[in-house]
Amino acid sequence: MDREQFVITFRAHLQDVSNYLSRRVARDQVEDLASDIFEIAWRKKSECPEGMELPWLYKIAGFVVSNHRRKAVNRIIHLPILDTDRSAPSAEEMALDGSGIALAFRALSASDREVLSLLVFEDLSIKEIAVALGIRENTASQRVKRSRERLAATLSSQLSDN
Amino acid sequence: MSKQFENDELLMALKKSDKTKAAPILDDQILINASATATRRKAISRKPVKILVSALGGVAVFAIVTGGVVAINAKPGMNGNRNDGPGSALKVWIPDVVATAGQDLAVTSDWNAPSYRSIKVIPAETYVRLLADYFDLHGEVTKSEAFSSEDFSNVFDVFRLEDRDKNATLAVFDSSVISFSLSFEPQSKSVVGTTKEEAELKFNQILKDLKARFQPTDVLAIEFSDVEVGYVENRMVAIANQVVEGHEVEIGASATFGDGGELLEVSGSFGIFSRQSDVATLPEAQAVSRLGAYWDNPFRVRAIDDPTNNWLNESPLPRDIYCENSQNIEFGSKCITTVDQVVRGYGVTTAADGDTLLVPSYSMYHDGHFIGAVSAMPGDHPQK
Repeated sequence: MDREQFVITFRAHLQDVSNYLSRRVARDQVEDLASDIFEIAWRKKSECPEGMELPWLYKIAGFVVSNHRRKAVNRIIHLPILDTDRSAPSAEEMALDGSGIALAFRALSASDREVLSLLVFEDLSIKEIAVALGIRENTASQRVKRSRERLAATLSSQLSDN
Repeated sequence: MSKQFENDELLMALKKSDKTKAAPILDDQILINASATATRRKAISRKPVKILVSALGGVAVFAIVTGGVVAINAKPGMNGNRNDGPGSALKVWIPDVVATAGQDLAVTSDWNAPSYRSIKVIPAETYVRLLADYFDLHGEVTKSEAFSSEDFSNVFDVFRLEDRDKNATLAVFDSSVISFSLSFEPQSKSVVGTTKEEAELKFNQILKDLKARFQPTDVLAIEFSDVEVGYVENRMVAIANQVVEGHEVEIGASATFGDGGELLEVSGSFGIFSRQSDVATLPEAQAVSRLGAYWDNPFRVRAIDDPTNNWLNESPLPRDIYCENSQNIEFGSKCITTVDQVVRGYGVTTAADGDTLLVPSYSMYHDGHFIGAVSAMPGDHPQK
């Protein structure tokens, strides 16, 4: 893939990446992080699965966001790890309305929020979620199912409390 | 949303609740810049990115250029000597170093030194309890996944405790050293502030207390370097490295304080090490060739001398200084340099079995600028 093809291929996903980042980081950080994501994408372009450009970009994006959040205050970097909990949309950064479902979503664990976010807000299929999270399709399917169940249970619990 | 879930009322309701702020419009220039040469952004110094790289514990300065991130340590079978498939890693390109030994480098070695190997004395789950007890956190401990940034495979178990009352999250990684991360949601909007002296005092007390709790008997004592305090992204940060038998190593802890002086994050690694027998180290001049590749190079070690490991002070991008051909480096080319100074120390690396090793090391310099640190241990494969 030469430079022109790279630009053509990924142009369609610029706004998706911006939306993804906007759910996870402050607005003024979006452009910088998007630059990092596309630089990595350029270097690793030969590894992009055909037809899976967007979930592949989200995989890189999750990695970049995770490490961006880790910043300097986290010396567990001696065991550098990508933790989905660190790339998930945070409750503070998600602009959800005040509905019960939004509150239930906020109450979920970060890993549940990440899976549901990829499904619901990033509009990925199970297969694409698998690519974005670097897991098997079957595992992605199970994680979606469990996260959805926990969302329902949390919502139900909140309703009964009220 | 995927057609499979279009009739799912719960998920559709969640989708409708999204009131995401308008995202910035990104233009093609980002793509064009991204596909420019690897050195294009070399003049840009963005502190968050540098910090990010620093936070990776020794990633060379070339990663700063790209803002990319990578793994260094790994579990058994994933250490630097493995043969990565082309699709497995998300590594930022860093040029190989072709270094020549300067005339002042020793061609024989009179340095006999021990190495140190991590020992696992207490299970990670116990450390969660020790930390939770110390920080007065309460909650259920759950075991979760962590992914290697190299290939996203499940590498480490993470034991996590969330204290919802305190808005605190504690994680302990099941690894060869005690690695943990504790973060509190900011509670204070105060602008009272705290002094460096107060931060130093608080962090020293934390280290002292943790040392007392983590220190098993009959092993080398856990010691720390002096606490250094500075600012990272407008937050006051205190850091300290671990010291093993007088050798300061690139393992340590940090604490971040909020505007009101409250503790926001404390995280780090503590190793418990056993001393191995002394070995005759490799001569300096001979070790120069070990600089070679940055990735998958078993001889490269993490050293405190590495300026990219210094969180509190801006460091230059020495590639532009130490590579004699810096003006001509493009993607795929090599960095040509001469090592004219070597400093002895102890580097951190990972054994083939996943243990953390502290090995005698040489930090190599060109004209006063750090190039990299390599193991001074003899043999073809220092991690074994």
